[in-house]
Amino acid sequence: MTESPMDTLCLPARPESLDRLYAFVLQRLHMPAVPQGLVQKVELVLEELLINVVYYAYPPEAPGDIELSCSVAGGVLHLVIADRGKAFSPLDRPDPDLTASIEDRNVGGLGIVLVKEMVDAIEYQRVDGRNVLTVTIRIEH
Amino acid sequence: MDLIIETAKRGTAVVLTVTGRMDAATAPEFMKVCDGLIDGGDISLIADLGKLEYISSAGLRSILATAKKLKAIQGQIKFCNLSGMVKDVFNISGFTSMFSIYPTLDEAASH
Repeated sequence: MTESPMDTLCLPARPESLDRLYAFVLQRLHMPAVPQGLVQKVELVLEELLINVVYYAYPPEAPGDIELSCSVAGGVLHLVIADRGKAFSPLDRPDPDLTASIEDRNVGGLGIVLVKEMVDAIEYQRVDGRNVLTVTIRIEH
Repeated sequence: MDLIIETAKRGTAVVLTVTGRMDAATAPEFMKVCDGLIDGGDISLIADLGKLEYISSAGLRSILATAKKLKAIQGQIKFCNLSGMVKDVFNISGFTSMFSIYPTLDEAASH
């Protein structure tokens, strides 16, 4: 696989940073070949993964940054989301029971279920004190 | 666009016409509107999602929380007019089989 250069945006892991982080990726998808439905999929993946970092990676007394890298090459979007917060892989969490009744349904855990369905590949690594999520989404056939 | 929720009486039910996006920032508004209706004694709700363009897990959580409240008091929330990514998200999360979902508002209102 050919490596393409990635652009990176590093911002404080706070809710106020989310819109800029979304725009950083979505502006790279403004091309005719990318259908609207796919842009929404990418938005969903970004929201679910970035919200996790913003709300849970760092304790309130020790805030930190979120680093988002992005490239579009060969019809494929690559995303890398990294933080220096506590070690946490969203992929290790067991999926909620999707067949449970309204009364028994747990309200958590649906975000990562959606992400896994929307991406072509997702991988978690703990590297040098950083959580690193690598995501691949095919945007052209 | 953010989230716009219009409400209208239809028989004994209240129809919520939901327009825009239900994401982490806007989903609490949906729950607030539903809580207001429930507090006012309306326990039969129909959410028309035909103009909803985007929903994330935060939106699903606010829907589920509302459905749990209604279930506990023998109420119900039904859905109609799902399309595009909203339909996909309902399917993936199992919401399509958990809730009563109708192709049109008329069908939702007559069941």
